[in-house]
Amino acid sequence: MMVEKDSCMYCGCCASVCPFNAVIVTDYDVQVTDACTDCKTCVKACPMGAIQ
Amino acid sequence: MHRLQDLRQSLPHGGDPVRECDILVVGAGPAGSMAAFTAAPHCDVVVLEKRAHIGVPKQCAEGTSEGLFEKLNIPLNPTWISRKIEFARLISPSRITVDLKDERVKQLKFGYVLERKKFDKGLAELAARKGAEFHLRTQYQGLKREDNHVVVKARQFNEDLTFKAKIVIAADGLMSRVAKDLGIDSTTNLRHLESCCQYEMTGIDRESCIELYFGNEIAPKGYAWIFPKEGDVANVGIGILPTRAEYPAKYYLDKFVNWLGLSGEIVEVNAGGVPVSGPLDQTYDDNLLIAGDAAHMANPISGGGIHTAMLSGKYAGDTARKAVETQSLDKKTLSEYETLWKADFGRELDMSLKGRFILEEFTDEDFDATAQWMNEKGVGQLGAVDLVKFALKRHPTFAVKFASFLTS
Repeated sequence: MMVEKDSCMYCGCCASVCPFNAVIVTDYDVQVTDACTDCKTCVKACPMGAIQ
Repeated sequence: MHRLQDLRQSLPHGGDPVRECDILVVGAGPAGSMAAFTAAPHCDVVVLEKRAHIGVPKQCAEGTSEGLFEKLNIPLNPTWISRKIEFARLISPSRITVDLKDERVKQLKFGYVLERKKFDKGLAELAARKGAEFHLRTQYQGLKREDNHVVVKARQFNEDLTFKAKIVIAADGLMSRVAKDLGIDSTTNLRHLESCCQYEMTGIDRESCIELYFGNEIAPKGYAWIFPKEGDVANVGIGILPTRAEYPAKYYLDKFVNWLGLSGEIVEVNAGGVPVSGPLDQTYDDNLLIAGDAAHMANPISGGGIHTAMLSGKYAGDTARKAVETQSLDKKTLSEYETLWKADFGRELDMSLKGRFILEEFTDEDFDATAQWMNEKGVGQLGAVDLVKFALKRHPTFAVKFASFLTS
């Protein structure tokens, strides 16, 4: 998954729904780890439409 | 933070210090700070908060009920309140409005729109004055159980820290990792996430009423809101269920703002998620208690979670303190926490979840008809039997669901 950081609010919706715990959201950063399977659950969860 | 510094200086060769404590709280929101406030007078309590500013950015419409602070015996600081709310207004898709304001409805006590930046920080200050030690800009990294304790790794600015606690209270919000790392799956199913976006806007002159807008075009399987704050400022937001919506929440919010013709300026943008699944099946384990959003304790219909966060935080703090005092940190002892919160608001969450599933089946025509009927009947006069009668007329299948909801 690709997070478009310019649109990201670091709210954590993506991390909360990820079935693989592959998204880590800190105060000012978001990282997608190798555990990501490209299942796209986070794409739907994002209120900003910031994940492709 | 000084206590850790003292510890570091006391080590002969600057080794890796471990801060031992009774209770480690992860997250300084209303749940975490209430837990710390409750336990700190009796135990050694440490709070980790990943952000540099407590209460910022807000992920909340800021509304909460009036009786909450009396119930918790927390002095309500007037600066925490942005606006006292007198009544609620429901708006159907065809803009039929229902004002919930007559005498009987008023007993609901609508409460306040808070200023979360001040409120969250104020609660943390109360906990700090009781003796809780706060670590800000400290990101939780991971943990392991060791000798009936939990060893927690965290990163504060550019430094790695280690804590060793008898009990960990997971108050780390929707994206809780603490509970997961101790073996409780707290992942939010996408089917149970309200994805939310909100603007704080100027130029909104409203009575002291919260407005809730329903409709499948406006906010698919959620609602849009206007919560007035001080002066002409208001939180204008929307929550949608992503599995039942075509676009992200921000799309619907922009459309809503245009639809209402709100012409003020946006002075703050917020985003966040609300877990509307109802609470986790298990909110405790050996050395662990889970509180607030981390335990999915938001009300599944309203999305409101300040009251359940504060109450669960208080119960978690009480239970943890007793467990530390009796040196019994096992899940059997800690299960008392779940008994306490369930006795308080377990039924509210169960009922609301059932109600949410019914509301999710509402068409726009159902919302309009319900609004019209509520006005004809007089909102103060509505009882459960009236609602079932109405529902029976409206659709029989819906009525069966509704009846099971009301009689559960």
